Amino acid sequence: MSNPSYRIFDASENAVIVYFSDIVSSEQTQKIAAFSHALKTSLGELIVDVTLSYTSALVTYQSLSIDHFSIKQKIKSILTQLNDITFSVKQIELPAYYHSEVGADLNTMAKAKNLTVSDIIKFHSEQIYSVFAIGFAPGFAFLGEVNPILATPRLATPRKKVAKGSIAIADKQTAVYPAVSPGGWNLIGNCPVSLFDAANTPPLPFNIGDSVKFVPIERNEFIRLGGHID
Amino acid sequence: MTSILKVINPGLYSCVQDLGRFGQNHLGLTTGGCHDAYAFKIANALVGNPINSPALELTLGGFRAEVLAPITIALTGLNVGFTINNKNQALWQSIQVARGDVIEIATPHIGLRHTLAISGGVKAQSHFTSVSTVMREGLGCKIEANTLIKQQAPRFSKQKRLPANLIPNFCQNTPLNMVLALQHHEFSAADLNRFLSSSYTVTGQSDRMGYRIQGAALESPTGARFSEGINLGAIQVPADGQPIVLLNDRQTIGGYPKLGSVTALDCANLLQKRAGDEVAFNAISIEKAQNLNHLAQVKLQRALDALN
Repeated sequence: MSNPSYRIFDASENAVIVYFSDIVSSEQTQKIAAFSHALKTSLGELIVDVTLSYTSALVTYQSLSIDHFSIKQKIKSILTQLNDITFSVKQIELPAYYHSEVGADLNTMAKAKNLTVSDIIKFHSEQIYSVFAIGFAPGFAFLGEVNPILATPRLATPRKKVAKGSIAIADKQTAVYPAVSPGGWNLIGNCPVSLFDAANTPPLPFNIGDSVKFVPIERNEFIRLGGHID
Repeated sequence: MTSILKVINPGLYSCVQDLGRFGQNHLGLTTGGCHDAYAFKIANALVGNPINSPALELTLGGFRAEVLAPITIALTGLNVGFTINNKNQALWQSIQVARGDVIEIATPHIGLRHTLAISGGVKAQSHFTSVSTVMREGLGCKIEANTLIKQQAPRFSKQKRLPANLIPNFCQNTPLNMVLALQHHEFSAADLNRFLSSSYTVTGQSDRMGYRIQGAALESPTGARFSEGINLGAIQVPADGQPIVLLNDRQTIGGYPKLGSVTALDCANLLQKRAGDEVAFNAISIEKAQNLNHLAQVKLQRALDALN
């Protein structure tokens, strides 16, 4: 019997989606990552792609090799064994230069919350964040959750251009913009380390289920690590 | 590597494609890939290439290029004015061209996209297992005027022509097959009926990422939901009730409710539609959709055998 909390639905004639939970937690995210790993290991070529996000895994399969009944049976069987699988996750540290010269919304946020900038730095950097989802843009990781004091709605009007490396907050999540892009999150700092680089193996330093901690750095360290101030 | 084509006019949008970038969703990278797998594979087979060789995808014709070295080319897609040195040529066949020849592909009267395959394949930089062009992700190669196209490997091919009965009958007014799936149970029966019995107009905000269609508004199920993986063909319904069909270059995750998916086979038909065209949907079972995939595979194999 598979755990009754799993729900599996067809998504198309060659994809199914597995829901693991109704709530987001680092424990669930790690379970989803373990599922993806087990699925690829045991079904190999039958799996075209697996898209993980928050509470679900979308599995695209080779519908010329297996039908939707059989793939769901195999998925259920993997889900049944999931609790016995040990899956290691890692924690990475990212340097963070928190300053209004690279975080345009830092002072506004402090004022609105009646906090000092140092408070914001402390609250943001003492938390350990779980990678809940990767998407929106290559290497864009949704990290959660921030200390409730820091939760801030998205900007009413998104910026046309957000600098690469920008550290930002939207609602209860935080993220680093891996490349220059438009964006509506509140900018509080910048990470000088390139997060997504096609030339690196792996191109992204973390996966879903891993955790991230920000380490505050000073301006000169930021510059030394390759950071830019526009 | 010698250049084989000099692009004089790329048309509205021309780019390099292959069958797609698979297994990279965990990095946030989308699939991309050719607009029509059958047309793409046959184009390559016609010029003697492995079927996943990089080829050019042309949008709305208007393409003109000068040949710089002898090669074999093949154009597949809906019928369109296609000339070499102003002499009419047929699609779905291989053509030997010589240095100095001028290839011209007119603006089509119906349909939107064509595949132009070149013997030896187009030389292109592969990123994350694929050369597929996804402009939003900064991957691949968009073809501009004066772009010099290089050959991946020298290759010569004998004259080939796809038997007429294996040329797809692109019928413009057939409803698109879709399966009711994903969150369809959250939509009202009345709205599902409304969706299946209405015709929708393709809007100008439609591209390889997704097609926005306009028509009978549907009530989008409310309630908090988390972003989740988006499969090819997913029909999402945002708050304004106007469906969006997500296609090859779709974002990897998103949060709108989805009532089902256009089948992969019919996504290729949808990608031939342009702003103002009408589309309708026909719900089929997953079993039928899978059977249609098998039939399509048989037809492809028959075509590949015929070209061997």
